[in-house]
Amino acid sequence: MHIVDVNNLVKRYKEVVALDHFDLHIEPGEVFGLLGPNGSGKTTAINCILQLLTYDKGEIKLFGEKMTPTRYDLKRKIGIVPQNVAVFEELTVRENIDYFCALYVEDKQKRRSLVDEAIEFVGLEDYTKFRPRKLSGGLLRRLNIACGIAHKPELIFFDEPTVAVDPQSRNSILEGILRLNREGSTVVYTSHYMEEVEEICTRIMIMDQGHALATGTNDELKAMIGTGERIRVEVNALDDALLGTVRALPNVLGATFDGTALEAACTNGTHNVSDVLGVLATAGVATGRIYAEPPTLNDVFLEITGKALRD
Amino acid sequence: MFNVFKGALMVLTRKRELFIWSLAFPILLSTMFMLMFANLDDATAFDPVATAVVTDAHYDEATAFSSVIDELGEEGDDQLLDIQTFATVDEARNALTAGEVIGIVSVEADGTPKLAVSPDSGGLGVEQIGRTILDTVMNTYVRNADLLASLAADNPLALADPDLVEEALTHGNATVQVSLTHSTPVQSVRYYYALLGMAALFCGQVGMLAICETQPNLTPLGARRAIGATSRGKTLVATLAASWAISFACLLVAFLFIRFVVGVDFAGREGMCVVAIAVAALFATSLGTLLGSLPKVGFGVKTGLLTGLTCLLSLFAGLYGEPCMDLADQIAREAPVLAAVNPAKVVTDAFYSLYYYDSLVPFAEKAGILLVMTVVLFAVSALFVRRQRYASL
Repeated sequence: MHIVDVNNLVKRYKEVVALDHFDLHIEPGEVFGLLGPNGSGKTTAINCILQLLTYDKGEIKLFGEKMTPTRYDLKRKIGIVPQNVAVFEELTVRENIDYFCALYVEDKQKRRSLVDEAIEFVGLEDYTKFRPRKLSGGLLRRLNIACGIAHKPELIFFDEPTVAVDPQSRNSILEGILRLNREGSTVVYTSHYMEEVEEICTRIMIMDQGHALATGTNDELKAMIGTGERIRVEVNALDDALLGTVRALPNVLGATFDGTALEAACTNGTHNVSDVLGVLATAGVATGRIYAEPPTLNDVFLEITGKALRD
Repeated sequence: MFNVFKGALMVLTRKRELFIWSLAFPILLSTMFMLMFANLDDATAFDPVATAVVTDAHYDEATAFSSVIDELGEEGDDQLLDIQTFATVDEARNALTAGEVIGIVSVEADGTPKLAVSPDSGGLGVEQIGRTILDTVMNTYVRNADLLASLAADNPLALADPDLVEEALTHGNATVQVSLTHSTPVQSVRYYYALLGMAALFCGQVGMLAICETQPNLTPLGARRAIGATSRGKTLVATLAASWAISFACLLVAFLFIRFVVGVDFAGREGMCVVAIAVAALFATSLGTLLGSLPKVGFGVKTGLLTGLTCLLSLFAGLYGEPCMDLADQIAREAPVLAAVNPAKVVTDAFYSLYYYDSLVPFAEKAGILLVMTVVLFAVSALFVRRQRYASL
């Protein structure tokens, strides 16, 4: 049984098709990443799944049952950490977590221990009596997360939870998500930061313009494309003729020069770096630092759509 | 549901900006009214009538009359005459000519009291009132003295019975004074009642803000709450109940301030006034709910709309001075339907009905109108807030 089962979902905003026959199938226990640029339909998909938005066509099932706005039994098992921090400015950290937890758990005693656990989970023990406006951006994001997970949901939607967060808080958030997953929650994680998705997601869907472009594990997605290695060599100057020579190498799929470095996308091969450096050395071009990287999800996105993920 | 109610109560009570219009404003304005009307009251306060009394030998001999005059001239809240004594009639006349006194009281050689007053200059000024008071005092004394003299001649033993004397003295009064109103009408109370009407409308802010934070299409908070496992109906009812409770508390504090600090008379019907406040708070909540639930309108615009509406409707409730009060009365006379659908006016009239009428029926009518308007506003609001899903957020 899929914990999230979306079939043929179509959502239009007047003339704009936000979701175009969109399918999504998530297994229990996964950390599923929805990766795509802003406006690709990630948040719209989540809002449709959670029944906040109407949709034109399609079927949505959660936990094997049809999801409707009044399926409070299903909603009880879901947690949401929205993209925009949504907490009460007038309530303290503890009161906010308690309020949102109370939307799912009525028993006061039980709630007290859940709130304590959530505070400990996000590391806000020293800030329980603070109002949100006294918290830094990172702490505010942690509070946003605590409000979404305090009731220990089986399925949690994280909608771009690391936007405008410092690296330390970002790492803390990502570690927390993995911990929640280890404790049994299925996680749906949306982001346009490919590094985060690569880091924590067991399976990834790449989206663009309301379409699911590709779905698979990190390795499966990278195996779908021709790029096997990306080589970057710092050089002072490179003429078009020499760039053409690099492009003509057997394993080179493409090469560019941005004024400071030569960048070549290559297929899998054992001598790619030495081949490129050999061309430069023959032409007498002095080289600086040299990098060779495996393909990224950006390469996957680039190869499928013809544009970079952050365009 | 209780948790949502408690949460909404905590959130709303900590929004200080809500209390500026709903609580601080009526208290401030009623304090200003108090200072304003205090000067007015001083200007119209009754001053004892300046009276010259000729204390010659005849006056001293008329002990019954002189004791009555002395009593009327005793200092205190009920002092009627401001007595200046003169040894001779000529001296008293000089004082009258100089305008120092309004009348001269003296006793003739045969013991008959005599009153001389300044010439009537026409009109209804203080002097005219003073002359009327002096005339009434003298006439009453002469009539009662004659009555008692007759009684002494016919039945001397009757004078020993105080009840009989009392009855004889009051028997000649053929008219009985009855009050047509529950209280003696005082014009200034209407301004305080109109102020409560305005405060009630301002309390709509509480409901407006509360409902905005439940709407998924208006705030991220609304979206998050809508995803929760508490039903939308329960969330709305609990939130509106909290809004009502806060509106009620604000109006109650304003009422208590006006009643006990400013000292405005509510005709001893404070209990019914609390009922009026409860109904007004409910209406305010429904008004706020309607404005708050309007789609595609920003919160700032909604606040401006409520403020503008409140100020405009308060104008037609007569809050801004005598011309406005006259305008409100004129509208009530010539276009009663308009007055009946102006909530500021209806709240004002609800308090005035309690103050003015013996019967509670007029108050019940006003409360009924408010409740009907409340139901209508809630019904219209329901069209906007009952939605579970939105085409866009």
